[in-house]
Amino acid sequence: MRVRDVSAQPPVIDVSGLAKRFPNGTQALTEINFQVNAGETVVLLGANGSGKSTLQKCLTKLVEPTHGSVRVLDTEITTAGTREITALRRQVGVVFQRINLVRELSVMTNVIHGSLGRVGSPRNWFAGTARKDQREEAMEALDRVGLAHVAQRRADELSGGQQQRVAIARMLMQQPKVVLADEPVAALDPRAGRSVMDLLWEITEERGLTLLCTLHQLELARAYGRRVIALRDGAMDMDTVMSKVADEQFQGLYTTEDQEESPSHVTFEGAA
Amino acid sequence: MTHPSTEAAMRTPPAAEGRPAAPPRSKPPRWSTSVIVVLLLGLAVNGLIRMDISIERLFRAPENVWRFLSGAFPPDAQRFPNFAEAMLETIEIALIGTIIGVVLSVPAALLAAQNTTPWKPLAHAVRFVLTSLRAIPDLVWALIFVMAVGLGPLAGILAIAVDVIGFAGRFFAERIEEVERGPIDALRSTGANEISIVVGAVLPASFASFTATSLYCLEKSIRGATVLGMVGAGGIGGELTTAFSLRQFDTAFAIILMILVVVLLAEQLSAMVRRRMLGADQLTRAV
Repeated sequence: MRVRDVSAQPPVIDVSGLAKRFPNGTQALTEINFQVNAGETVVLLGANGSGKSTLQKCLTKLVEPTHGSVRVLDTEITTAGTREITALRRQVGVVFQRINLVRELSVMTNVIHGSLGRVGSPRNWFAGTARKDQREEAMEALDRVGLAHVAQRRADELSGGQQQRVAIARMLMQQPKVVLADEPVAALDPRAGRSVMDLLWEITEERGLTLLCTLHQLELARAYGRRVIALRDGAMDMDTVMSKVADEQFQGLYTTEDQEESPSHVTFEGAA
Repeated sequence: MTHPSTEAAMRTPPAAEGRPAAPPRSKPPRWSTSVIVVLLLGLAVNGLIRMDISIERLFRAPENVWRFLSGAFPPDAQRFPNFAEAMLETIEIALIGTIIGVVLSVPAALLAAQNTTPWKPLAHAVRFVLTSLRAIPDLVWALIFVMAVGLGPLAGILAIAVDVIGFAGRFFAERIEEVERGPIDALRSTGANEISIVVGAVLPASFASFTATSLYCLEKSIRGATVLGMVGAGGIGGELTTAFSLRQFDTAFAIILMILVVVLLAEQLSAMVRRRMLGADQLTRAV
């Protein structure tokens, strides 16, 4: 999909020797090593409980790594203080599986909330009081996701697909450099899912953002991913270009889930 | 737990031959239960003896009530303008006190809720204070404030405000603890500061519940404010006490009827607003 040469730039995400063990003894991640360059789009593929979400949370220190090094946008998150982590989070947009809009507020207010980290003005708490710059920017973002006409509606009046597009507009409002999408379409029907995926890919492409998107559906990964990193039981299974891999190789990712009742799988249940 | 059939069903298969014996039909109560029952009964009996309660006084009651009723009819509304003014004062005391209480309850609840408190021990401390405010009845608060700021409506307003903080503070805090994590995490991940997260995600999600609780507080305050005057904290209660002590039962009855009407109206009004807020979807039969 992506044709621009990105290998010349320094890596935006640099993970080496990352391991995470939860206090309850679950080994969620072991020996994760990969780099993502600026403007690159990577699909993180794996079954439920393979450690995808934990890995993504380690990138902004929502989960603290046990071992190894994680550098995101030149911030070493394992040693960074609260202030640096907040500064990093401002530059990392997140699209959630559960969408996470504030349902009681208007669509526009939700979008403007994306700017709260960047422009900490109390005026931006609500669309009605927001500064002119942010109001215009929010309308631009809403227009980009094709929802300018519902700006005034309450967020919970929209369909799931529309809500996820509003969440993408909120992410745009944040003006991030890196986007983490955690199963962004898992809660949507296939058609709405496709349109959200299209939108996410187009937007990251046109703004030159780095995108790390977790997916568990192989077909979607095939359709959208160029580079794919596959996780299996918390370890890297492959890091390769999608077109080089046959479907059969991916089937292995799901065998523990579907067929074997292996003890290792049971251990990793809680790691998602 | 001690139901005979379940107990029998839960028994491990009998080791010996023959049918397993049924459990006994009854079991002696636990000693702690017996102690509590004996204690409470003893206290009640002691009270009856100590307070010298005689049955004759109970028999004399109908006669007295009859005298009150025949004195009360017809209710005397000659001084209606005075009562109306006192009633207005009562409602205003309730309203002002509730507004002050609700406004102060929001920060108190944010400090008391486990998920928004800046410091866990502070949450426990605030909760303890809220419980204490609630544990002391509003009439006692009125007595305290009459002593502090003198007779009049100000004492009533303060008493109502304190009562409302104790009640609303707790319910607001509980609502805040139920707010979904998702939207909070979403705002946190944009790098927003704590106040922005509270105003942008926590309060909007709690707003409907806060409003319903506040309306209930107002209703409760109006009921409470009608008697505050009995201890000199303003409102219609003062008129009522005066009428009773002058044995002007017809005047007293008119006041009681007024209180009844106002409290019923307040309840109706708050129920109506609550119904509108919940919306049609919540109120269609679901079960």
